[in-house]
Amino acid sequence: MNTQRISILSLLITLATIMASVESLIPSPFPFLRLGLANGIALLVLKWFGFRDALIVTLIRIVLAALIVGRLFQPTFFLSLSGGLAATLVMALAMKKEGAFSLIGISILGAFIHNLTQMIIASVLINQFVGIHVLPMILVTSLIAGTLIGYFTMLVDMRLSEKT
Amino acid sequence: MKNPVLRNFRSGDFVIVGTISLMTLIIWAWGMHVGRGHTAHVFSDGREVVVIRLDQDRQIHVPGPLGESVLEVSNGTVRFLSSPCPHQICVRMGAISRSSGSIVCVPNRILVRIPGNSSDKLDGITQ
Repeated sequence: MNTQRISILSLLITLATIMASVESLIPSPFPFLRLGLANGIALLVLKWFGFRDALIVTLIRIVLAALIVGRLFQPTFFLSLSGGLAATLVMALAMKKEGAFSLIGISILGAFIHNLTQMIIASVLINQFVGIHVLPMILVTSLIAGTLIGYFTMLVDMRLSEKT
Repeated sequence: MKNPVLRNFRSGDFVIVGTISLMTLIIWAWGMHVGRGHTAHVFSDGREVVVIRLDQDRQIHVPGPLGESVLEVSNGTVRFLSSPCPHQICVRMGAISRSSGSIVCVPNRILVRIPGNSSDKLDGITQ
């Protein structure tokens, strides 16, 4: 654990927390209709530092963002917690397949897993299956948001990797 | 290639995009086949509390842990008119009318669901 790594990780946690907090304040008709900018940060950490750090960053980000918008330990908090952790896990697995996916593909996968997990946890929370009819919407929004986030993450990764 | 992002594309990316597009099309096409429902089942905290006919316009008050949510039935559709939950997501989800459609209020633990036809076998899984 050297100083540079600590400072970069802290900076990224801060960024992700701000992104997640601001995003959750934007009104949206559906819980899954969000860009998920913080997921891009998780992706960067995953690429630069590996699974362990990405998991820690995601965990701290979710708790801090929930604390800021005041929904810690509410149902929506557990939704974003489960979604964030599952997405990070699956993205880490995809990242392990060296060369099989670009950051865009991994990002889309992460967005989809994030939404799918939330749907499943929501089903468990209300003790009823939410329904398959929301799946197409989840798939399409994951595709769009995942592509955008993956694209931005790739640009950031390329620019910053040149300099260090 | 000039665009550095396009140069980074991998075969796995196309698999992911392709699979997601295909799944969307299949489920969407399946959804088109499913017609309008005639009844809506209302669950509070996992227990079925009332079955509403969708051909009679009316309002129904459903109690949940946070208080009473109000459902409105009109023109064969049902929606949350108001709910005591903080984020009002259920109200903003709008009206449903098709089979297998559902609207949920997670904080107040209320689920409104229009039952599907023969393909709807998933009701018991999360019980």
